[in-house]
Amino acid sequence: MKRYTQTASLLSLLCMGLGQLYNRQFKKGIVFLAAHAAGLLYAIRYVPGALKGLVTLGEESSRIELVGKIYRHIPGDHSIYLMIEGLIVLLLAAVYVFIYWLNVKDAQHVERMRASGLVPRTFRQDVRALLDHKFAYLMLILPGIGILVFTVMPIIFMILLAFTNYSAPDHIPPAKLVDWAGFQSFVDLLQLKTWSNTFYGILGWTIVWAVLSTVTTYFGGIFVALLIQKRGIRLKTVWRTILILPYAIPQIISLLVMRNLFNGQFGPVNQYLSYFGLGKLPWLTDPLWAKATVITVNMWIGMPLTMVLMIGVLSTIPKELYEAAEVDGASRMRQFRFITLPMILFSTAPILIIQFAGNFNNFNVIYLMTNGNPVQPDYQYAGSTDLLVTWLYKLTLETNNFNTASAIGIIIFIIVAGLSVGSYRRSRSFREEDMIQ
Amino acid sequence: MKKMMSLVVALAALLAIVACSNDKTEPAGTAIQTENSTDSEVLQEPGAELLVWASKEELPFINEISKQFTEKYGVPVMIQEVGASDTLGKLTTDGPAQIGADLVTFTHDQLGKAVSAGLVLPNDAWQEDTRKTNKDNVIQAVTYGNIMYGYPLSLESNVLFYNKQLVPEPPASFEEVVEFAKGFNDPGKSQFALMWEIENFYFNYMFIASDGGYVFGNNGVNFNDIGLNNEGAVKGVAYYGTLKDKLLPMRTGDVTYDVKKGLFLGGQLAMNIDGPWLIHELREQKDRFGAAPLPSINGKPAVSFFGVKSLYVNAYTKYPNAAKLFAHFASDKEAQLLNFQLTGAAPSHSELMTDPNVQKDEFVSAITKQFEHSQPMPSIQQMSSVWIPIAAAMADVWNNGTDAKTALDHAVGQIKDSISGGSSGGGL
Amino acid sequence: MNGGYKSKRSWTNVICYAILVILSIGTLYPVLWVVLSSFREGSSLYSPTPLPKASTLAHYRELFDSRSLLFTRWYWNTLKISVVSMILGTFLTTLVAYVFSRFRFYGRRASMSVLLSLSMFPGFMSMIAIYILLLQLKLLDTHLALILVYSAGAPIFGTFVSKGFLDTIPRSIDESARIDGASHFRVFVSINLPLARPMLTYLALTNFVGAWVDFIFARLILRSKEQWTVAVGLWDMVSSYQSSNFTLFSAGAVLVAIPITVLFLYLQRYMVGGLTAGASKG
Repeated sequence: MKRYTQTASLLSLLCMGLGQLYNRQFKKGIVFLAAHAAGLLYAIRYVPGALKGLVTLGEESSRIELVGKIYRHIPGDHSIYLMIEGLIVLLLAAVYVFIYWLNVKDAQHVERMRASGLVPRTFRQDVRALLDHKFAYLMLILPGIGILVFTVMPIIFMILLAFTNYSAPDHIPPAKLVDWAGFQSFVDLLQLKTWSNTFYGILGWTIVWAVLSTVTTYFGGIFVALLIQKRGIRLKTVWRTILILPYAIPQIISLLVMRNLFNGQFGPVNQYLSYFGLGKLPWLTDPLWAKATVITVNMWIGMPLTMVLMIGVLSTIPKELYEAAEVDGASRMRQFRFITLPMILFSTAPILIIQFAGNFNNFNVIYLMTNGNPVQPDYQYAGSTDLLVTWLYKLTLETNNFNTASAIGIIIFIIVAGLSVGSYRRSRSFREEDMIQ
Repeated sequence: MKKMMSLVVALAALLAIVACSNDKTEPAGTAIQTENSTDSEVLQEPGAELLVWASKEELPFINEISKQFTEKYGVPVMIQEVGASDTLGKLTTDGPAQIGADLVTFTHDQLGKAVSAGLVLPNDAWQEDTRKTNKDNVIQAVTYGNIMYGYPLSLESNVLFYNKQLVPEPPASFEEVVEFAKGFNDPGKSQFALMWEIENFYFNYMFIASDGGYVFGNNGVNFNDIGLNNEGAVKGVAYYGTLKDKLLPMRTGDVTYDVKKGLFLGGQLAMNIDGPWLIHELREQKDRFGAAPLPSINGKPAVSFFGVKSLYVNAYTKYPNAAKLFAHFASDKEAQLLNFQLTGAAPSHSELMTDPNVQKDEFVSAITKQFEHSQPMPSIQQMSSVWIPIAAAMADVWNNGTDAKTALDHAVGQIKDSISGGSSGGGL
Repeated sequence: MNGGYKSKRSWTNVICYAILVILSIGTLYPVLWVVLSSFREGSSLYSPTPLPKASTLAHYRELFDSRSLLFTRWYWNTLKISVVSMILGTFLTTLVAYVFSRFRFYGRRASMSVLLSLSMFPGFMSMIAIYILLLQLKLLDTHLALILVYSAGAPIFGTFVSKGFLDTIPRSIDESARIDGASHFRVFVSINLPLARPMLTYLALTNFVGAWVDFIFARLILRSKEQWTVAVGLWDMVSSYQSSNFTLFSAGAVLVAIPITVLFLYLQRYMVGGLTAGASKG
């Protein structure tokens, strides 16, 4: 029996795989050693450059130079490319460090086992254990990589952007370099009058929108579901099929059509109103009306999904509850108030949270329906119906204020993610998820 | 990852090569002597091949001119269709990524964006030629920060399109339009005398500028001098406000491009102020539709924005010389004539502007005449601070009857705030 | 007494029917409008009469005949991308949902919260980063890239509903199978998956439809016209001033909406079950 000396851990810390070799686990040792060699080679080659690029964001920008009578283009550093390349290298380095840590842990664990006289697992057993006890981790690797590369990396990139001066007109690569600027964009956003007016105005409307559009589609959906499921209503499948149609039609199509339907002068909606001798309404041209219109149109788009959901939920409520209530002489209203509603709310709370967050970031409805209009003179690059998310879109793709947009993005992210994760963790389905088992 | 790194290495290598090749002589190529710049030889790279992005409307012309170019110089040219409004955005991402086209076309108002991001090469080898054959304000439009970039192809300007069956003689002034509207307007039947996008500053500019208003001073480059609320502008906008009752009794947001076009082609709208892109729809029906310069405002000729559609050379092109050669070839007199014949574009070449054969075309002559009274759209990036506040102010005057001076003063305050808050330094 | 009750009930039923009819008209009207517009002459959506005066099939013909439109090609591209990303996306989402539902491991709750918060991130803020990443990987303008982006994003949005559904399948079934010596993988494939068919239907459908309606990422990644999906092509028809063609857009829209609608209507009963069970547990 060997004494536990931490030799293996120390060796592994020195170089991946050494500890495993010391523990006489040759196959595993060689695998780790190979990983070490690959990682080290990679690190020596790329990490310094990546770090430098990330810190300096480039030293010389592209430019044109007059040679004789001819201008030549001299390519230089592109700050944004440097930033992303640096980020990717760092993320890979983090993965490497993580493997390193696993390796030290493993060496330590095995040495401890050997010290206490146990026989460590063979390589084959290790692999089998991985498939068994660590099956969960194994299955998460593939989706995890996808999420890391296509979601987490871009998020970190966005966060970094907020701390630079990447914005038009003076800091757009490749002609200009981008520099780190600390918290300047946050300060500007919250303190410069032109920005802060817009920000607070749009934030207010976004919250109103998110609450109203969630509540209207939710209760609208419940209402329609109750209608269809009501005793005595025939042709239930027909109604359901008709009313689910808006969900099946791509929003890009239905919203552009709605835009035309609601035209104040020439849209059919107002033309019908005037047939009936009613005045024409400024559906999309008056700020307040436009807000009401987008909420209504959002109901048209969002209700079907809630309806389908609610029809399902309603069918799970035990009939005995209603029968008992009827025996007690409870009216329909009371039955709804004390049986149906609590049951529905209870079981669909998580969906409500997800819908709220979805509406907070509802890009399509606003962008395709009003594009933020009607115009709002007091806003910076935004209109009356713009949500934070569509404003963000305009700031990045139309006016190239990337740093401000990122700062806004971070703020949205904190608000929405905080609210939804907080309420999700407090919801029944999170806290009591093992009840059914 | 490896691929990415090899790309970085390749980039570095490229950089080194470019740095070295600066002081070395160019590899041998076909020497092309230009008529004017005899002292500077432009060498077309051996093995060059070019990619051009062109919009759907330009395709007939670009296809044909490319064929001629290939025949003459042996350089193969590929063409990809890219929507006119997407071109600059696509160049912004694809240019530095080295997957962009060697040549692109866009209207000069986007030049500021392109130059500030370092996306295009100056028009150097043939600048004398371009200068000689185009009017000063065309040159001014394709110049940014004293360097000329564009190779002008055609002119764009708003004109008055009219339905010949409804309006035998196009009106010369807004007063005449109003007079015509009295007998013609019938909102119940959606029948109107004249429409333009009353919410869009691009079209509303005539009310600002006809009596002396302007966006930026010093020909559109001095953003500290804003002339959107001077006396002439206020007068013009006040007149604009009165047109709601006389001409178009509706809110600004109701006149959308689609509705307007539908009414005009359907014969319910007698006159339509629009840009040259409408010509593509009307060319087939020349006996039904005509065009004329904009009607005068308050007795003064209407001043509008004009745009110069030009070819530009991508700064990241592998074959700058061949690309410049193409740009020149496709923008000279013969090429512009070809463009006119194939797509109906209004030539910017000063000789073609007086060529009776070209000016016989009603649409082109309307654009050319309107061009006499128009100003280039500003191309400095501060322009992006202008669109929304000024559109909102004019909409306020139209929809709510707000006093023109109050609305314009407010907008100019907004624009100034936005320019000083949006950026720390100067634009040029 | 009894009669009074009955008549009151039939009255409420009449009102209910009335409401349903009104709602149905509101639902069908815009749909009908698109269909009618696609037969309208000219290029403008606006028309003074609700029914087009003259109808034409020209727009449909143009979609298939025009050389600059490539509509058939876009259709095929979209079909390819949507089917592959449906399979991949559903697979990845199911993996994640299954793990979160069935295993109890260190960091589980934290990762669930992280996953939920990731879905709150405004997607297009990642556009620049994804563009440059794909450029470096030389994947720009390929369908593979779009498939990767769609599939990698799928778990972020589908996991919660799917996990809720899997939670409703009693774990005792798995455990008895495990005791009989089945591996985790076997339990997953031959016991859980068949039971989760409604959920799989729901996931597959949403992932499939995603590729037909997204024009933001598709426009970013697919740089050349030959590679486009129908959503990008349709967007291109109406996004720019110079080339707006709403009637052609409507004809394309009808052709896009038909397969999706049919699929939806056909699968809706599976979905009702899948969504409900998932939602009721979150």
